[in-house]
Amino acid sequence: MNPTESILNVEGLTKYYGGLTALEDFDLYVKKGEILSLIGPNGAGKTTTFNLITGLESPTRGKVAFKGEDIIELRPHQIVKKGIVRTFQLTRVFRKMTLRENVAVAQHIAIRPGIWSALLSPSERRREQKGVEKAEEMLRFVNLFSKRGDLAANLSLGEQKRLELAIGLSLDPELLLLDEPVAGMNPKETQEIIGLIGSIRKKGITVFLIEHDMRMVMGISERIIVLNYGKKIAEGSPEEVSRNPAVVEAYLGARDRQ
Amino acid sequence: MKLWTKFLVGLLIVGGLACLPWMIKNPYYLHIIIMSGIFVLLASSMNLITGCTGRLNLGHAAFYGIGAYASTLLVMRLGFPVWLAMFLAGLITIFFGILIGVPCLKLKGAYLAITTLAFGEITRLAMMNLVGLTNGPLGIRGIPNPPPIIFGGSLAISFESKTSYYYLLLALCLVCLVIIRRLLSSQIGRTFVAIREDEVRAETVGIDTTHIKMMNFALGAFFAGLAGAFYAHYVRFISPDTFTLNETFTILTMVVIGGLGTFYGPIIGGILFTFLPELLRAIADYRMMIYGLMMSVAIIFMPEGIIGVLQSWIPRRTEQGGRSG
Repeated sequence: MNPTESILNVEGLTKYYGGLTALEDFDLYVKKGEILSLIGPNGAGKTTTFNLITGLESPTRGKVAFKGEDIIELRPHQIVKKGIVRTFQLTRVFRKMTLRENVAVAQHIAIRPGIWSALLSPSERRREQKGVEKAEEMLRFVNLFSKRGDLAANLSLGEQKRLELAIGLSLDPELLLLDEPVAGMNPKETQEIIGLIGSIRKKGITVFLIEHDMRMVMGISERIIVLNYGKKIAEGSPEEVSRNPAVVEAYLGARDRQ
Repeated sequence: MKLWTKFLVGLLIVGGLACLPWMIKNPYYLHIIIMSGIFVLLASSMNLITGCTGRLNLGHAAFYGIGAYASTLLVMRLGFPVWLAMFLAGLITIFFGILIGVPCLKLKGAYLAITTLAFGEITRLAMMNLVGLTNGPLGIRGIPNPPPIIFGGSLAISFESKTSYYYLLLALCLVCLVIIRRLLSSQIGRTFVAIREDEVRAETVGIDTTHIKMMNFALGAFFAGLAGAFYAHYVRFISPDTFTLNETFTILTMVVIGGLGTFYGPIIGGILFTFLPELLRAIADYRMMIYGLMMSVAIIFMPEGIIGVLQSWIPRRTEQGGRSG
């Protein structure tokens, strides 16, 4: 646990909802350039972790530092500016906008719009034009370019997940948080996403993901953290984690109850 | 080529509107046309807040009223020149827009509607009861005309006839609508829609939603304030009765039936619902009832308003399946 090589450091992160413990004293670090996975049964606190890191919820206590800087007080759009970008488990694309608009609107930080500049400044138009070009480039990257003029509402789930990826990547993240990028997808679509995550990593972007698909997690992760009932129960390489009795128990136990 | 045709159509419409007073000599008709221009502005400004950003603002008539009273009081109490006062009225309305915008930041749907409704009523009650300032329910009469605009000495437009007011309003509407059009097609317009579609998602792609929502309220208030200022100096009499909740609902009807969130919808709605009540004077008492019914029917059968219906007749370039739910 060398803090110099990690870009995200989380210490003692805790979240209570009334009497319910969603997350308790969770420590974690993310190393630059790695693919780290967060797994655990439903309700283990995985998405809560993402929400706390990205500022959508504020923790009961604990520290989140990105590249040594405390980000716990920042609002979500400020955290995006710092370089942490996320996607959502239940895709949240702008349904009544076209694919191109979906990605273009996400270029907000680069466009820096203002009322006067929107009306008068040709440089803002140029920045908007660049945003649209970037949007098309990203749609090409996730193989959705041919649908760029369609409404996002008309996409299949698999396509929406890829659109989420395009939106996320268009923000030039240093750390990309993917919340179940392959949930509900067929094997072919899953394979496509795995390929994309590989090329994302080659771009030098650190990937931190939540996933239930064990084959995918074991295949692409360099490190895995396992949560259960809001507590970390294991951490290590895929081999170490899959041999860990506590992990096996958590998963089998979870299956028993269903 | 396409840009050329667009330009030509625009020129034709503006030219046609400019010729209108020569064709219509009847001052009553001209008055209705001027009022429809005011309502086009009001509907377009409400559409910025309610249509584009999806925040139901039931206090819109208050912005209209604040603009009217602000300009009137600046001129009659403080002796400001009319032109300056009309513009300042827009800025003062922005101030009130932000004042109500701040507590509304966290509110959505029905809660926002109730809060803005209360704001509208408080404003109306203030106009009624601050007798020293507003002359209460009796209203203020004898509001001065704008001074004549003089072009180089010989040519001058004086504001005594309805025709000159018509041209002033035409200019005001064109400027405001061009600004609104440009904003809606820019990044700012897209962020409005993004906030309407999913506010949390908008935050997580780096949009400062607080800032944009304030900007949105301020813009909506500004254009409504300008419309109010024009109204005051045109009709030359204002009273709290003009700026009631009924007025807000009338404007809302224009926006919803014209087409929520579209640019042309509120323009069509504004014109239609200024003329319609004049044609149906015989059943004027049932106006709000009929509006309510029409709105319910419109929301069920044509959720995208008249513009939506028109668009479904014109074949689209990109194929788009059924409407999303």
